[in-house]
Amino acid sequence: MQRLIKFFAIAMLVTGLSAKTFGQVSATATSSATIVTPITIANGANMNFGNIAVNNTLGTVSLPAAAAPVRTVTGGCTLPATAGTVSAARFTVTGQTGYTYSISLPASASLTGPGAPMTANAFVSTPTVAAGGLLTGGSQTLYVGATLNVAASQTAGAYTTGTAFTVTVNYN
Amino acid sequence: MRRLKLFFYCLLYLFVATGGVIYSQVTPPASATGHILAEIIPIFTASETSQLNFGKFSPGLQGGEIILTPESTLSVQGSIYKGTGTQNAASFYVTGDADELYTITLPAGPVVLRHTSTAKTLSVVDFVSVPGPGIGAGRLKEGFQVVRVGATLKVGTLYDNPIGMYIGSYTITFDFN
Repeated sequence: MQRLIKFFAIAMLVTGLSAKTFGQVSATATSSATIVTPITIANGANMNFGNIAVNNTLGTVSLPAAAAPVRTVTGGCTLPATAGTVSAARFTVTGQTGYTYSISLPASASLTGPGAPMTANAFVSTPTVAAGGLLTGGSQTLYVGATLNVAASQTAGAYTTGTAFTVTVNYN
Repeated sequence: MRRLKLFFYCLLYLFVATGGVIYSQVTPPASATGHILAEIIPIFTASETSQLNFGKFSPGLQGGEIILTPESTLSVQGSIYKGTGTQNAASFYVTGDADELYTITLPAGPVVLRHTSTAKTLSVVDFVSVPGPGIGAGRLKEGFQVVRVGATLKVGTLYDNPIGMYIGSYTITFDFN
């Protein structure tokens, strides 16, 4: 037993010495780090292009990234008097107050329904991808819009994305 | 006592050695997903693909009537001499839901055509269409239908209707219920 204690004592002594030697080498090094609140993003509302009418000419419907988006159309698409539900996608980004972050939007998404699939592309956001976001007060609302491509004489009915589109944010 | 002290040093050493690792934390990016929705609604449209055109004619002494059928066949009554040039019935391209029934309403009273440089007029009466103007007579088989419209042009004497072009407009209604 006495021998065992001695062994530990020697072992500790050796360890202590090695630590001391190591400590002398890196004695001038200073380390600092800031633990920041992790950035998070949560979906608050889906993107909804509302009711769209189309004739025998293809067209597009653009949905701006805004709280109350006003749609614009090209080609054979028209906006009926009964607009339906129209909304840009809404996300809430939270994180460290005052930090800026980058935004990544998808290139395109496919909407399926009773007719041929429709493609949504030209995604836009507020704040924009180019400007990036700023977490004033630790959070920011991020709106996302897109442009829907409607085929000529697109079959009437409800269309939706089978696979949800992804928006990614990261601290700069 | 000595044993306890050594044990303490040992713990301290371990803590310092691993301290740096704790601080090298990387904040990962965050992602969220959303769905996109849209509703394509059937549109009922009617566009004029061909204008009602009675063509060129000469009234003659008494004038008369020019009857243009929906099939663009032209016939004259009275002293009218039909000139060269084309004439054709109006046609409309109607679109909407497949197999949807609709009602065509033609102008009830005479439609006035005005001379482009004088106050003289012609009147167009007796509009007819194929399909007819009955309730629910139109049917959008496969989502569209072509509606042809003819009418009768009443022509006066050469004094009443001098040479020139006469233009007017009329309203045809396609009603979807």
